[in-house]
Amino acid sequence: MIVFLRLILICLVLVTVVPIAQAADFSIRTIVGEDVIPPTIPHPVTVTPIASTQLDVSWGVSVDNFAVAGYIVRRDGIYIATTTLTSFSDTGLSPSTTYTYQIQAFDTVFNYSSSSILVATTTLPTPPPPVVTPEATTTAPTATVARVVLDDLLIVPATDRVAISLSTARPARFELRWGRTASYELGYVTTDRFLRDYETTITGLEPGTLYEYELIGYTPAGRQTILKRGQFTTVSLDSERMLVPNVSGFIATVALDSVRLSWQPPILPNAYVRIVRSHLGFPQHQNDGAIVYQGKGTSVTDVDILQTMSPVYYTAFVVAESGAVSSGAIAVVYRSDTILSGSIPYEPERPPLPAEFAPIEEVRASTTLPELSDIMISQGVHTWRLEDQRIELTAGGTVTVSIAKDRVTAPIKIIIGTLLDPANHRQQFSFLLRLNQDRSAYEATLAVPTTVGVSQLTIEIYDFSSERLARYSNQISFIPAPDDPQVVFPDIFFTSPLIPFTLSGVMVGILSMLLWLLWRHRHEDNR
Amino acid sequence: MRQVAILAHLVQAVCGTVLALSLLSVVDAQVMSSPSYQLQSDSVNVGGGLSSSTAYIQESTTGEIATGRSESAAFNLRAGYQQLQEVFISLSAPTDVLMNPSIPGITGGVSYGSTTVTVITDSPGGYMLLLSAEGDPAMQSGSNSIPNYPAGTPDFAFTVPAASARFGVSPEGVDIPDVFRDDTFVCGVGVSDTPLACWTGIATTGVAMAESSNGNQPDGATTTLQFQLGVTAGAGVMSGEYTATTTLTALTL
Repeated sequence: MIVFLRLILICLVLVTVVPIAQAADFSIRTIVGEDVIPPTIPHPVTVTPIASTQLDVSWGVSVDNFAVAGYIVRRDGIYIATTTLTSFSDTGLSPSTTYTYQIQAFDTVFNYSSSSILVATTTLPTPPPPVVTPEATTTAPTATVARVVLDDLLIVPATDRVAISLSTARPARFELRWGRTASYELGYVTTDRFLRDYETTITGLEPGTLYEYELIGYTPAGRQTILKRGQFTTVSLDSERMLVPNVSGFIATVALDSVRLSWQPPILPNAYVRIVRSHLGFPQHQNDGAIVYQGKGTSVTDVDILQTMSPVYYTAFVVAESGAVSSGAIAVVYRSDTILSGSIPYEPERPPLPAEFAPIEEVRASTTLPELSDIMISQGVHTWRLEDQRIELTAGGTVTVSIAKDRVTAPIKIIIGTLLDPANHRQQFSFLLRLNQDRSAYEATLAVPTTVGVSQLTIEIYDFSSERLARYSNQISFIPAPDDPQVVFPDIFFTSPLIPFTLSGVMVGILSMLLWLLWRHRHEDNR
Repeated sequence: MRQVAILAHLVQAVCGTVLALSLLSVVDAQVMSSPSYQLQSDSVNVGGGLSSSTAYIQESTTGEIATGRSESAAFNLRAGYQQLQEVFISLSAPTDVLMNPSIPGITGGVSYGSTTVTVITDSPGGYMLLLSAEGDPAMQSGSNSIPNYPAGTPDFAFTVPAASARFGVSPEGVDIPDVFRDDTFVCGVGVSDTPLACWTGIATTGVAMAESSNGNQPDGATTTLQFQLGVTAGAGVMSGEYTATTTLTALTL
């Protein structure tokens, strides 16, 4: 007897899904009627001399029948600050000078408490000339020399920034310098207040890069100590950076005073579209204006918006599941009576309609702006320069337009790309080129039309006064996508684990049957 | 006679093969669910077996090793072959809301406030965020109260009839239920999330403020709850401080 399988175990893991909940309470409060009750007087008030130029004021919280909104600080009877905190550092004072302070609380409807009692304190005397101690140290000071001692230092690098927090035993003023080399050439930050705890974030760093830093502390008496010299490395970007395509066919249509916006979202699982509006210019990031729409739809109507503003600038961002955001597709509309009043800033220029488009490069004489050859167009493994005579893109795919950042050194506000609809040269779609994640290029990824035909890509660069600095343009062609390769073997063979298992069983069965028949034949022949 | 015997053996062998294949199809691994249960994962295991001696009896299987669990403040890891996949959900703490401005008792007025929360879950079935009030109506001051906004399909615009008062909520965010989406005119239709639109009351039984059928870790989903209190002239609302004590509950699905 042939044994196919010795044992078959069926193991099913049945898990009851018990809903898990998290709950949090909160209150919603309001006042109906007149609130004429002021907060209580802040008490007690203390003033501490910190340096020859600084006094720290602190006070106890006030209580209100509804809510305390803040505190007013007065020095020598003169208003100097409003704060929601219960402390304030007064800097820029004169040495060995006595100052008086009063605090007053107010509530949400601006009922003011009476002023606190006057508290007077004198600043420290002028310090002697600072003495530099060049050695780096984190050890305790000697008994006779007061200097800044670093208690704790935490450095948390990210891709383009680093967060630094530190604490010292006594209030100190800090200076932080950093750079690619030990000359700390890239920048510095200083505090003007004497603090025990200090936090700062250095931005504009390059990913995956080693930086040197130096941290210096100053006592209130002016003594300088190098607290720490060291290095940190920013986090590298993922090797496969995600490029989020813009919506395609983003159109704004005016209907009376309302604006209907329509678009086709890219095929990107769990991505959503966020449309932001501004009357100042095209929103350049997803929080740069009022949110008109957020979701997975394809149209929205901005009702009666032209009654209150004209022109209206819209930018449609695609937000991927990962949080990455597209560069933005743009549209601008205006009331019919404002078109005659002047030009619309940033409005993409309507191109001519010849059968063929010639390359255009209109750049103000400048070495700080890119040339036509600096504008790159890439689709899949293919890359073109905008100056190329034949730029043939596959219709229906996605394409990335980019300009290296180091080719745009002029101060600019916005770079706009515009693509003609190959099926209708009177229709065009515009988009923004924004600095990419690693800040190496101005970039936009967009889904190109599915229609085969001739089109034109225009890139325009504007400065902060909405003056166009440069315009580049050339013809591009959309060609049919190559035929999909024929599937020779059914894909299901690879996707369903049961099928190869079943086929193996069939083959074993047939082989066994043949062996058995052969054995029977030989047995009968022998008989 | 010999041909008949061969044919009979052939039929016997084919039937045996078909039977074996039928058994295989019976043990085909499947992932299934019902309203009460969800089969997270399953498998078909072949191998191992029963061994025995005078001193022991052992039954073993092949191929499944669970390597253990690891935990941190943010993650729970169950590593290995089909370890129990626990679901996780977190709800950020909502801040207390102070409605602003205060409302004059005689002439009436409108007061606004908002709070924002983020729900993070790895539940494959998604989550639901419920807002419920401790009292009915929600906004109370001693023995006085302000009526809830009417329940049912939310109103696109916050409206308060003459000589009356209402307190309502409107959620905004990527996961708001369809009933709070609008076509910029009517709620419950369309896909828009028009700001400060689609208002309803806060019931003690809870109102869904957000829901999703997918997990969303690690970024989570943020929902902003907008609150509005409207009092028209002659509503007769007694002066005082009114408080609605509410609870947000994030529930895995």
